[in-house]
Amino acid sequence: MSYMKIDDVRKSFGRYEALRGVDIDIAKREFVVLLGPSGCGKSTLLRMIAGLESIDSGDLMIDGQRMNNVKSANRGISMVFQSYALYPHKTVRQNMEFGLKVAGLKKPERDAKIAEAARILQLTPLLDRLPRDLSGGQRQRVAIGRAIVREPKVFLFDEPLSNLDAALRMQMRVELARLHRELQATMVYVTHDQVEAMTLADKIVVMRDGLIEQTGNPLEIYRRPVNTFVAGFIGSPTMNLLDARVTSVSERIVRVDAAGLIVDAEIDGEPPIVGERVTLGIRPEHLEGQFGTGSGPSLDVIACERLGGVTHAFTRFSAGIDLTVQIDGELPISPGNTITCTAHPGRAHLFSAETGLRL
Amino acid sequence: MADSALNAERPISTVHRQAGEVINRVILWAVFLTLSVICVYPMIWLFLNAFKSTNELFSASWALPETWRWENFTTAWGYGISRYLLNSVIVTVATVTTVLTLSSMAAYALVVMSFPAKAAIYMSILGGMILPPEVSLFPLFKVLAATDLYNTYFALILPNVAFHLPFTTFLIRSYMVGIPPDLREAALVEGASEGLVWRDIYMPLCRPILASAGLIAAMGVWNEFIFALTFVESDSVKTVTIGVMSFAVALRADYGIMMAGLALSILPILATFLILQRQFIGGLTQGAVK
Ligand SMILES: Nc1ncnc2c1ncn2[C@@H]1O[C@H](COP(=O)(O)OP(=O)(O)O)[C@@H](O)[C@H]1O
Ligand SMILES: [Mg+2]
Repeated sequence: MSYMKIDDVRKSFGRYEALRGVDIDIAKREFVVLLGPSGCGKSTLLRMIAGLESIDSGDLMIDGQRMNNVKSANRGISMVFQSYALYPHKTVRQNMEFGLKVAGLKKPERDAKIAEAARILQLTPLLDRLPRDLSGGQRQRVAIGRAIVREPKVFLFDEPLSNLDAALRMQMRVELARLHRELQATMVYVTHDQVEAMTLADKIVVMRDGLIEQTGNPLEIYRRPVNTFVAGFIGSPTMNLLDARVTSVSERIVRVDAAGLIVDAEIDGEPPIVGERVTLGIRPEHLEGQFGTGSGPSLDVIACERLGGVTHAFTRFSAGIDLTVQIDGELPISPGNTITCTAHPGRAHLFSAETGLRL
Repeated sequence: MADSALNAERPISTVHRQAGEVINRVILWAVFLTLSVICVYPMIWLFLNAFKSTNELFSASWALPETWRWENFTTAWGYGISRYLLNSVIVTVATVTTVLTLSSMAAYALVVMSFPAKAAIYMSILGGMILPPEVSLFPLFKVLAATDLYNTYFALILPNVAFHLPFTTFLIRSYMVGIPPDLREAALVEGASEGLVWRDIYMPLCRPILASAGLIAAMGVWNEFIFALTFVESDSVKTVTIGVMSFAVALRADYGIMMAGLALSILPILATFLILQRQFIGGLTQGAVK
């Protein structure tokens, strides 16, 4: 049964349609990530759940109750803002206390809740400091602490890690995952960072231009993207999308030829006919690159990104098509080299050349 | 290539810049020194002469007093200055408190809320700055007479409030625009009402601008003359600007005591300014830095 339900929700700002009919089912204790490029309407949707924006049409249900016209404060949600939105003139303790005071809790109760949240987030020694005397990561934890003390039904996060540096972001990602386990809470998390989405989510909702492109668990979305947009958005480095021609079809297996790169791909739907143009999607990590002349086309290495364990080689076909290949970090490859590559069997994706939908 | 050319020139240009900075600084200091002498000198003169006898004042008006006649102040105080000062304090405090409360509420609504005709409402508030008080003197007098407010504190407080609202609202609004709207939204999500957000978040964060705007309004009200001359007549409600005038008439012969009275009349506002000056400067600069 769904704990929270977003049903055909729409929102316009003047004549601009920011959300064009969005449906999401969220189970209790689920960690849902709204993922999409900037401007696709993620924050708008989150703010509508929070009650900071009105809902033009559609329904928002939380725990069986229609929330469309319920005041923010009575929706049972807590929100963590991208900017943290800590009250600058209040100490850490007062920041956490504010909502509890508003809710009318007595002093001993408030103190107990603050102490507990401070313990979970290791904020105890910082309780009497002002936000300006805290580091970015500490402020982030205070913002989360302020959300925790209210014991909401649903936590809302709007790009909470985007103001942190890379190392801290990774640490906080782990922290958030731990928090989710520890609090057993339902969380809706907005980000444009697919790594955060992949690592944190139970369920990813990929959005574009006010619409949902795909909903599913991270591996499902990684393995079976429903269209070229999702395919290109999930995974790093991004999936190679190449124009290809069908050369043979046998039941579910379709062989395609993309400028000399011959790949077999398994499909779900109606098989295409031989000679049809399709889009071949193949991730860099599913290509095997090696020196020398193999069976595949020869690729000129234009640039390399060495990550240590693996190297990402950005290469170009003779036909002028770009292809990113992930190769073993031990191979002494450098720009100017020529390599060949073959695809791992069963890892290629085929999309319709016209609609971009998965075949 | 362009880079190395720039690097070669840097030492020379640094020397130039340092010399330029010194000259700039000297000019700046000279200008400010002159300005402060112009501003402060009359005040020093006033305070010095407040301790002199009339004869001494005329014979050596630039010198230090021979004997410091503190009794000038007690005499002036006894002549009714105390009452005028009290009236001024009452009118100023009441006016400034009301203006700051109403202006900050209006500014809050103008900054964070959305409602129809918002821009038009703001424009009409700003329009109030254009209106000179003199124009409204007669209509206001009629209104005050008709409402029986003539010759009461309210006859001074209400018009002063009205004429200080526009500029104060303008100042506070400009400052509030710089407060991140997330703070209010976070508070609303936590269950706060708009009133609580205004009181518990916006007011504390606006302290510097409240101090500055309050001080500007306080100085205006303290020195206000036309309303004080027109809307009250009894000594029991007269403020110090008018009081000093009648005081001067009564003491035509004793200039030392008159100076003491004048000195007393500016002391409270001077003290307020000195106490608040740090906040005041903070208010003028903080918005820009943040
Ligand atoms: N209050 C608003 N008024 C007008 N347009 C808005 C408003 N809020 C958001 N938008 C527009 O709606 C679209 C979605 O915005 P948003 O939800 O913030 O995107 P994101 O996915 O980056 O969080 C953007 O094009 C944005 O310009
Ligand atoms: Mg956003």
